[in-house]
Amino acid sequence: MSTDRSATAPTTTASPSNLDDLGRRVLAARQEVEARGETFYSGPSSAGLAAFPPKERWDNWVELDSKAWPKRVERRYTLVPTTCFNCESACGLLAYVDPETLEVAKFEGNPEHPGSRGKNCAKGPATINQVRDPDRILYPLRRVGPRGSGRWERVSWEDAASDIAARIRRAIVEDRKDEVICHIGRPGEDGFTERVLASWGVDGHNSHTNVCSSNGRAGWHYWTGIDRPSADFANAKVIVLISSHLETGHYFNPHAQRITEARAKGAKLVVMDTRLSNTATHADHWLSPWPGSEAAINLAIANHLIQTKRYNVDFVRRWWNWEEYLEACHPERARTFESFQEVLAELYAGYTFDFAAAESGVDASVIAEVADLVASAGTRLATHTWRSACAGNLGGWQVSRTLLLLNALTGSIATEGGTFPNAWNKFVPRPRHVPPHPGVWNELSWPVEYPLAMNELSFLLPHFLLDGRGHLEVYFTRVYNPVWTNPDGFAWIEALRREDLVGCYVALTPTWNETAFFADYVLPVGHASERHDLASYEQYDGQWIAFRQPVARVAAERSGRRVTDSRETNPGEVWEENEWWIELSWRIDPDGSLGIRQYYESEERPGEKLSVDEYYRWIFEHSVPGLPEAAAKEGLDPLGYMRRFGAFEVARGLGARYEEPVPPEELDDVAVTPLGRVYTKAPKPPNPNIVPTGDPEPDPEGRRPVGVMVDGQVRRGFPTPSGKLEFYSSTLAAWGWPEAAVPTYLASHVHPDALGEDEMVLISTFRLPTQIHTRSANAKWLDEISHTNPVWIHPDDAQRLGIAGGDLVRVETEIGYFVAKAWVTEGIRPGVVACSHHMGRWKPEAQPSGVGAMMRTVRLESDGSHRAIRTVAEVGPYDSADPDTSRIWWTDVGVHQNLTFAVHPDPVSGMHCWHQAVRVRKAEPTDRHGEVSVDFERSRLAYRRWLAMARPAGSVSPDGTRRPRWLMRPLKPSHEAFRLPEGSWAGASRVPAPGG
Amino acid sequence: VPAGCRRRVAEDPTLDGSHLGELLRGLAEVAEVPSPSPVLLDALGLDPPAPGAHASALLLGYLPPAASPSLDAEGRLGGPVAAEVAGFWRAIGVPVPSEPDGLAPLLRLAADLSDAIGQESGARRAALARVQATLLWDHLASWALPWAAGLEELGIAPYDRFARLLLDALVAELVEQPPPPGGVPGPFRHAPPDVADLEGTELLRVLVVPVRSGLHLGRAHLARIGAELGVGINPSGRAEAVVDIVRADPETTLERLADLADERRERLAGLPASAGPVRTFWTERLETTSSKLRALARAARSVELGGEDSNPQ
Repeated sequence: MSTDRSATAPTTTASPSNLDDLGRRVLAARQEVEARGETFYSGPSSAGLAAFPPKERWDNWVELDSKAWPKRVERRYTLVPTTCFNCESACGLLAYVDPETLEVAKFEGNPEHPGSRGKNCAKGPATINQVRDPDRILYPLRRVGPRGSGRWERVSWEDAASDIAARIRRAIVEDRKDEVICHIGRPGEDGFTERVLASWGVDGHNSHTNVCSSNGRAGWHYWTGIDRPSADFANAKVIVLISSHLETGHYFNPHAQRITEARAKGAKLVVMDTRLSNTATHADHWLSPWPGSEAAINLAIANHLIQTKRYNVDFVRRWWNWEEYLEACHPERARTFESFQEVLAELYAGYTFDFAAAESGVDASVIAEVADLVASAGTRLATHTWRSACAGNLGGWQVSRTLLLLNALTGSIATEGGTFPNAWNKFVPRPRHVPPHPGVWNELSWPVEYPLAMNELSFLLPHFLLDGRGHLEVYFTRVYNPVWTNPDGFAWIEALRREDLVGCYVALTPTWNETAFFADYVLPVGHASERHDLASYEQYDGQWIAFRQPVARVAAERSGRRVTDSRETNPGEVWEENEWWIELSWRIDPDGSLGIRQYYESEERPGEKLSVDEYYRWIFEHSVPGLPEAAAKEGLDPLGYMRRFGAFEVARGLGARYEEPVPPEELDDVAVTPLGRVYTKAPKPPNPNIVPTGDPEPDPEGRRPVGVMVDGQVRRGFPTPSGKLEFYSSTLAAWGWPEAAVPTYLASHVHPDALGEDEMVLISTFRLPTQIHTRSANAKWLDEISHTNPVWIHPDDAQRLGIAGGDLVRVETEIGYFVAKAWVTEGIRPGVVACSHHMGRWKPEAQPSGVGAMMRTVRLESDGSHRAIRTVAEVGPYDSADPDTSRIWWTDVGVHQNLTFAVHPDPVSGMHCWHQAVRVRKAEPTDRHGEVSVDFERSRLAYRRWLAMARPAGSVSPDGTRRPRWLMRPLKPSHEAFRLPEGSWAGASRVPAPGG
Repeated sequence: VPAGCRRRVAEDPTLDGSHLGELLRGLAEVAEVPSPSPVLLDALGLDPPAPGAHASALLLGYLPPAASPSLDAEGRLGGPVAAEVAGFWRAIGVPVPSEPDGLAPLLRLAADLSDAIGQESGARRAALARVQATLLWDHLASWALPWAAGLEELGIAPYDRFARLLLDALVAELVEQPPPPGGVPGPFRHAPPDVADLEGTELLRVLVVPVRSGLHLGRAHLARIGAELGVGINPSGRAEAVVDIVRADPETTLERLADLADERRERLAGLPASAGPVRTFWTERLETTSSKLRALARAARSVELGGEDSNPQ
């Protein structure tokens, strides 16, 4: 400290003018630096763990080598952006690439990504484990011996492509187009695979969505014509989550950071989750409902808003299709809004707090408190549900439909702090070629029983094949593992083993999985840093695109090397999918006679194959507004900009699109229906954004729907048949479900009334925050954190059943049982047990390779109707190129419970309803942890029982088609293909009366 | 509101008027970033910090640059003081930063407000000025002036000069402000008691609580006293370190601490009238502390002398 008294005397030394001069100097310095496009104030992001290298230094970033400590050894990197390929969020990553060796040293967040804003969950940085995984598949493999025998030979990509292409070509030429199906796991690039299949003329897209989010989507789609929510969490006043969305799910990292911001500003968080999840622990109000009762709670809140008249009356008047509802269901009433208000109050009067409390087990006073909170939100109510209760329950689509009812009542649709339809917060740039949709209908994916299904009935495929409904010439799984992920995995094994049902099964996968073991070809595709994809997801009120790219390739190109094939820089012979699909399509139609090759031919080099550079260059130059200009400011071309920064924000603050007046140039020879739907002869203006939405049909004169009349003005409206929010779904009413045409409560298959006396409900739908289905099992850091899935059980139930923590229990489903460890916790309500689906990986004993840290070795038993997996060896330390595999300290990798779940297709949405009615008891002395046993005959019976609940198009279609044409469908066949086969339509006379 | 008014200088190079806001913004960067841009340091006339200087000056050797260690009744980082500052951010409708009471975010907010006030007029300008006055009196100058004075004493470049600039800039901002309501900044209205009624070990432990003792006492201060006495500093905490060094040589140490309090009081007494409400609070606390320490030192000496007198030889 100073003892110099002269220094203490005048405390202030600078005159105001001196200080102003200093400020002026700082300002001048800042102007100069920022004018160069560089960062002057790096702020808090440059301190501590949130540090981001300034983008102007990405070409030559220097860090000290931590492994050289205490010596100060500098390491140089070139930083290349990409996006994560674990969950669907597509968060930005920044790969630290050694410019000499092209090896990636680590992944951190990309601060230039508008969605994730430099932040990542554990799975992002763990991409480095997946890249370096010693067990990963580096070369194409071909089966030797019977399927599933575990014997493989290395094969060239060329040989594999030739064989597969020849099979597909034969199927196309011989008009067996329904024999080619590609089953998609995680989306890579919006629409890419669909366009490949469309170019082949096959209706072969099979998404995983009906085991995932179809119910959540359906509830949204019937309301808005768009199939998922996009909440503006950051600006919300009240946030309602029916999920564990803060910790897992789509898109939890971008959403959680915005929910956290909102809470810092005073927003209240309501979480409906039967489990005390990490999300629930953050809630201001945690509601733990009986599984399946969530819609009852939503409706009680809605009723409170209605009865107390605390809803946005003007919004409801202007934007609900209440006139259509009155006309269809209450023709006796006056067609006035006042009349509708009376009906609305009558319709929901029964959904009292006491009713909801009786259904849910949540105290009525708590529901009332939440209802008041929702009422206080005004137009700043952000809601979100995706899988969770929607995915668990029969009728789960009414969970999202009734949750959206709260937004529709409060007018918080596409408002600041409200909830948007996702299509308005998403930008899918149009590529140069968009092939026409196929002229055929694939009954294996879109069976006649489910005319209103949101997505393909993909999880029923093996049962359909076993029923003799069809045969597959070529079946692809693309980064997907149906044996493990889907219910009833033994049905998949059964079908895949039979070459008479599946001619050739090709697994495109970066890593081994339970389905790939039964493949004919296993083809290694890349992880996040080894492939191209263009992504855009709804994460706030804005639109962005992000570019996944092979980072070693980009680093090589920065140093002047020319790379034309991602295999040149990827590990082994790992290939990116885009190049593979281009190559395969070219081989299917080498001379162009099938009309396929045209979509894969270079425009720059006619007669040669399209390169990925050319494919993306065209998109970035022609279909992304603002990108060419932003790139020019950086002295780059648009492709160079995306390679450099990895992401671009197309728009922000889009607001309520439905309110936009339709411009006069779009109104030509207009026709307006009595209910106000406006049709025009004016052609649709070109739109570079091809994000999918509902597509209402033209009027009989061929005019396209362009808007809806609201208070005398033509506004853009919603992509629904009415153009308004469809409180009343004429589609549901006309296609056999009039009783569910308005938001209502459907009793779940696990409703207490449906359970046997000793039955409990098993919740199996929840994720672990640090894993993502089968995708992340080859990430050692994540495996060390999360590698098992005990059964949550309440202490009261545990005591009743004589179960202590850590005991082995048998959980018996309708078709079999699994053996797991018990975790006794008050974090689950009595009468309910829970087990995450993320664990229980296995490999057959004959299979030489797998995922060493997470797959137990098992024996697959099959005897008559009996199916089982028996443990041969647990995981343990082993020698590999990675010394960490010798340090594996865990043996318990959980249980594969999904094998014991029968298929439960929701008769409306087609979604598999995951919750299970189970009996839980102590395991038998001979039971071993992780074992599974199934009676396959019972699984087939359960399939037939649920199938019988459907109302097939042949008996409910009002117009002889298979499906309402306006509903979204990844591939939308021709009008002719939509028609039901001759003689299979009962006629329009049996259309049920609307209402109900 | 302030963020929306923030000047985009790169787009508007012709701005004139006061540049105090930019100076505050630059100081925020130096407070927060271990290695600020050399261009910024050059503009501020500061030398580049030696490796580790940021940590030893602002984090480990002294009190962290935040309101709570200065104003909390127990000298804790975070806690109710940080929560109160977070409430202020919320009240003005600005997203609460991860460290709401941190010096850097508060300086940036003051800079944004300063810019915005310069750009607005009428009722909006008056409203922004009221927010700025509250920010400065209640959440920034109230603690940052004595904090900066203590930092400057440590003489760790460039943070000694940074502290002087900070002090000067805040004083210059206060000139523009109306006095706080009742003439007393918010944190002082319900401040915990000074050390007048404390004795013995309890007094020594409270010396490291600035709002009570008036003294911003970092580990670096204690280390220097320890070095004079030839004793090391207890690594477990500053309060324990004070007790230890006093035990090692009660009279010298207590006198030295009293000197420190007097020097700090003199330094703060030199603050201009515009900082009067802050000056009064801290100088009074320091005076009380100095008196108590000198009384204790006398007592220690008499005990020592008494011991000699009792010697029969």
